[in-house]
Amino acid sequence: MFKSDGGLPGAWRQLTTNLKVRARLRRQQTIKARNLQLKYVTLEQRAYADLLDVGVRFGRYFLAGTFILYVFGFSAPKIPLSELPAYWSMSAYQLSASIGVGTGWSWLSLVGHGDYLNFLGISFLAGLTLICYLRVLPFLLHRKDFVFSAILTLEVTVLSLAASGLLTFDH
Amino acid sequence: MRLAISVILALLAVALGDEPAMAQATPPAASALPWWAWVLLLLVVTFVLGVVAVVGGVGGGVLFVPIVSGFFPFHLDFVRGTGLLIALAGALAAGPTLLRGGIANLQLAMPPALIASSAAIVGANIGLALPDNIVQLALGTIILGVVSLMALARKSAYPEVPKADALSAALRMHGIYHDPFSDRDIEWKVHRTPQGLALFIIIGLLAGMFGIGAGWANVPVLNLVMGVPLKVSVGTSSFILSIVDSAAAWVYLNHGAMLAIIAVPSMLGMMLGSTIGVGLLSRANVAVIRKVVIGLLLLAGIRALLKGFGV
Repeated sequence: MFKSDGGLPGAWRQLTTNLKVRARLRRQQTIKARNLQLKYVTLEQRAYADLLDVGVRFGRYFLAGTFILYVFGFSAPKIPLSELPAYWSMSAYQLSASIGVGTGWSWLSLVGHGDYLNFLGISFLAGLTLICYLRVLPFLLHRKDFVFSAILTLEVTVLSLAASGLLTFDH
Repeated sequence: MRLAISVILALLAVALGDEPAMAQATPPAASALPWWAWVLLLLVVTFVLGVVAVVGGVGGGVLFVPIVSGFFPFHLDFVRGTGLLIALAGALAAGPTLLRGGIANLQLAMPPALIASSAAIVGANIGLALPDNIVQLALGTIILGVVSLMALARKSAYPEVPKADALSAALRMHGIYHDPFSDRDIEWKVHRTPQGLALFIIIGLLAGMFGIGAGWANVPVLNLVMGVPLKVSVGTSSFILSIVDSAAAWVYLNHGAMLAIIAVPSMLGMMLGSTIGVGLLSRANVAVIRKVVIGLLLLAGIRALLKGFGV
């Protein structure tokens, strides 16, 4: 692999040089790919994608972790697993009434229970779009793109209202 | 994928072993099968649906809701909430790649997403307020509509847009993307924007009411009505779906229309199936799978109609 005539020190020098060259090549390729992407993709779109990528990875592992805690019984569920078949055929309204959970964010008081602990991961994934939109807003404001800033602000308002539970009507 | 497999193995371990000590022993009232059998069955079904959905070119939610509500003992409220989460998880996972590659376009997506997500909140509230049989009847009708759309609608890879309309020009709904197959840059612009945006109101309402995602309708509207190239339509549709389903999912979550035992295995089964499906995409006979999807939807649509009629 190494063409070195200087014994062990020579081989070491050759190895470090090879590693440095490879690292420089990788950096150049990354910059080239990034520049190519920027030809087709705006900076804010790229920022949205980067944040979304991190969020999805985190959300996925978090959800799987909380679900394992739930099914293995590390965190006691509000509805015992063996009783689930009696509950999952009820409507959402009947279920909430029978276990005494209100609408909106009242489930938050039950996150100590394994089943409701999973709602943290679910709500994180549901809220990820909102977080990514907020990441984009500074780019648009900096560019003085007021039309898209307004559309984005409206979307953030709609998603925030949906998340707040204010748009959840009792039936 | 490793994550999904480890959770599936965990579920199998629970199924084969003793139940956790916290669970009180109360006899189940609504089903002859134990809870874990339904959950494992759900995992298998969502895995298969994940494979079929990718190869057949449809979203997971549109298959999941009619099939699971028709053949599983879960209430439609929880199935719809989970359907939204499945569609959301798939769209979020695909988002970074689509956005970085320029296949999804943020500027094209934002106006329709705003309209459709607002409508989805209204739709979700209506859907949760309506009696079950009415929702089943409407779901059956919609699914049969989706079947006709899939069977009849033609797609255009590069629709001809002679001139961008004033609204799309004002909203800068145009762009350029690189097609690696033809190795060329493709410029695109949009027309019939007001008609397209009006259709997104209906799409949002239906997505919220039935939890069936919106990809099946987004793509034809973007591609055939607004003249967006097919690849950008598919990519941007997925991105719009992530916003619309987020809004509707919050309504279902805030209504308590989610059960972790249904939602999480379904999401994991679908994710695992989709991963396998992507690998099979180059080898599978897409035309045959598409016919299978149409057949499955037809069956599920009829089943939903029958349930709606109380049969």
